Amino acid sequence: MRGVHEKDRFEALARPHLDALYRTAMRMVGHPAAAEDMVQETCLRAFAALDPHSHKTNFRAWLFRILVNLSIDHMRGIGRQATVSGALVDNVATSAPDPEQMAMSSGLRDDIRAAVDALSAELRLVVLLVLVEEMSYVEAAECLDVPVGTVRSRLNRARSQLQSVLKDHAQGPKRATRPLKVALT
Amino acid sequence: MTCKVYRSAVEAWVDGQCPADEAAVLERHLQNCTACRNYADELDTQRTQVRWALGGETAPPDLWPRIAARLGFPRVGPPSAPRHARWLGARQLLAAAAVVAVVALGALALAPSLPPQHGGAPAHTVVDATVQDFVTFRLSERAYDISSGDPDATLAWFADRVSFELPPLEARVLGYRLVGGRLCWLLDQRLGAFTYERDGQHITIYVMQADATETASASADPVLAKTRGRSGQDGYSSLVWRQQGLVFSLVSEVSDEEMTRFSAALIEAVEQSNAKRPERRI
Repeated sequence: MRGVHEKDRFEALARPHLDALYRTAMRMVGHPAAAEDMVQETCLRAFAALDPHSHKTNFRAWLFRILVNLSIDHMRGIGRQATVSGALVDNVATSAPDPEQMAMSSGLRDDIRAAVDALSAELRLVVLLVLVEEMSYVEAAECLDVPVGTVRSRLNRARSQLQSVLKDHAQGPKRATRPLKVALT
Repeated sequence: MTCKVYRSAVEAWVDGQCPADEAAVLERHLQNCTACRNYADELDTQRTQVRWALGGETAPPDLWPRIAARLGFPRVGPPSAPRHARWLGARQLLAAAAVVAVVALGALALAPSLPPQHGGAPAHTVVDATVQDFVTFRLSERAYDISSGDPDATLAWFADRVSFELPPLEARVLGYRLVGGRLCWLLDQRLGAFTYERDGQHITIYVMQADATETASASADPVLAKTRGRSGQDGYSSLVWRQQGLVFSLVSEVSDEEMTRFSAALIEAVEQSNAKRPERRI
């Protein structure tokens, strides 16, 4: 029986990552119910394995590593279901930045999602961890149990594949571009 | 180096993971190389767009309660519970605050009459005081007391100016860079305010000492509770939590999701530093 303190501690550590776990699972398994099951299983395993007397050096990476392993097992088992529900798309639309502000064409979001979904699982995971969840290369490598160089090479390949999609929208209005961080002379 | 060699460095630079010495060399190259500059712009745009398209997905509101039930956690109250989300000190407040974290900020009705527990400042006071300071500082366009991205230099400046030990700072958190610190007088104490910036958006973390009576109980819990509230200043919000005898108030104009992610990263960083240096535990 785990103590109340352990439960509080686990909730404080794990709950802030719930959305990130869910959207990563969602993009890996393609179905809300399966993604929810996967996040639940991740938390159950994490809580069971969490040593109350030690502190994880990187709890988020550890949590995601459990999720990544589950998603790989899932895909090996039944194959990936590529469909994403319309309900999820609607949900996302309410929490995303103002499209006008982002100055993107309306179809871009769906195209980017489709392009990410079309990536192989190993490339998709790197995109989700580094570009979406903004993990460092080292943290992503820890999640995926691969060297940092592998993370970078996968990210490079994923970016190349995604870029072809984005270029199709290059004729549309551009987003409010962040100023380049160098002094251009 | 040729542009081919620089390409890999450009990717790391756009991802904010290029070591400072390499970044300096690369930035000099970018000043003179249109091709690499365009490549950096392409990657930067792509990164922003991918995050925009995929980063807003959120878990169903009932997912954590279902997980908590399977883990055998105490039953989490309904969203109407935030009236109980006063200043913590008890695990049930954590549960209530956890509910608050998934509902709209505006739903947090922190009644002004709520008395502080254990003699500490009530949450709404911390929220109001820090948000007002944040807005005032932004409007004044004053300089930071110490403008530095170096965590050690920043903490060294504060060493003799506050009466408690500040937690270690990170130079970067989720792509936000430490840009400066200020010594503030709020809630009858000196405290540190540290600001991070990314793409013109600012997140300031106020760090103050918890009340002595609360500190005693806080030492048993790395994170006792957190609660959120919206001040009267539209567009700014605060996320407040207590950890290792300190009170943290995170104030910003960024989205709720971004605030939560940032706070999670800080909570974990403080916990890690405490694990490495147990003598820091207050």
